[in-house]
Amino acid sequence: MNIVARVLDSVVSVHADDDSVCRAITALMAMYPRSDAAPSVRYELGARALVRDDQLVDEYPTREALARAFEGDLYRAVVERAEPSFLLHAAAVATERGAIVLFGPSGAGKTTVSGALVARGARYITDEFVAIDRQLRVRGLPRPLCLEQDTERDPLRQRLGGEIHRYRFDDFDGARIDVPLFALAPQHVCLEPSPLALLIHLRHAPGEPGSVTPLRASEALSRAWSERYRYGSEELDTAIAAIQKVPCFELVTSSVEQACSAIDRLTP
Amino acid sequence: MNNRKPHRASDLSTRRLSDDETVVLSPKGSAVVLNEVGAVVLELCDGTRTVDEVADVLCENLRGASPEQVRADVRSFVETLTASGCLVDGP
Repeated sequence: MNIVARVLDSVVSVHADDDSVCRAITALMAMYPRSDAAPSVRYELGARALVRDDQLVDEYPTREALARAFEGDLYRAVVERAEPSFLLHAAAVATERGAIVLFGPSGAGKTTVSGALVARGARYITDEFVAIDRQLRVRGLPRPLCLEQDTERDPLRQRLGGEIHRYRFDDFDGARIDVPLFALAPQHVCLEPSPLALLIHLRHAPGEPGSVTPLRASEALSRAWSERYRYGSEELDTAIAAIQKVPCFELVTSSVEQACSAIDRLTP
Repeated sequence: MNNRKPHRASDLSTRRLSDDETVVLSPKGSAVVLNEVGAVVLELCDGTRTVDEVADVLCENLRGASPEQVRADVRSFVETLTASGCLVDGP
């Protein structure tokens, strides 16, 4: 199996032979547009070994560990090669009003809320990795969404066309691992830059009433900067420009419905 | 401890965030937001003053402020700036 795809600003080629590893890589790479350009990053995957640009990254005890290591290494590689921009751990969707960027710590609900917004008509940019460039345009890493195990009843799957990639490992230790990833249909995905419209810091608090609070510039910057992937003067300039240009809110979420309704009101 | 004479790290980048707030990008990569008083403290830390002398200069310009409270606040703030890499000791 050989895949060549554009992942953010990099053209990545991946070659693998092991059947289980091929299924995993096919799933992980499912939403990145294929490319004819010369690769800037080249991966070779054995059953245990991960090799990037002819250098052994490491060997792993299980195929699952190898697939996860590949995913993490891929993100690091494309971050290192990304064009100048403010890169942050965040989700984003594109709407008619522009891009909504949802940031916050792991578990805040970025994937869940962005998926729900896509189910309401927004287009998916990413649930992991946002790049805001100097012109305050948003791009992202459109990786497949990891679904709940009961995929037939997953509301996102029910509403949207797409392809579920299930990859099952019969791992070296005898364990069986089943990972369903949902690759959204192309019409639900935004690959082109989208103007930044709104920055939302998410905080999931099931026991609290949901709320929306404007963030002061200093607070918005502190929170967004804590989710950055790279730091430098140029990144800081872009982060400050973004925060000064577009509204920033804290959204405390009690449910997906409440979160989506609140975001709808913020983007009339 | 309070005989330290901290000064700004050599490669600090500062940006204006709003009318009364400045952002300092520390060498360690953190973005430290300073209000007007914080920006003055950073400016006063030029390697010639001890931390308490910085507090005393500040106190002269803050009417009604308790000198003890200002010293305590400045010491704490200088620790924060040092931990983030914005201030360093020595040459």
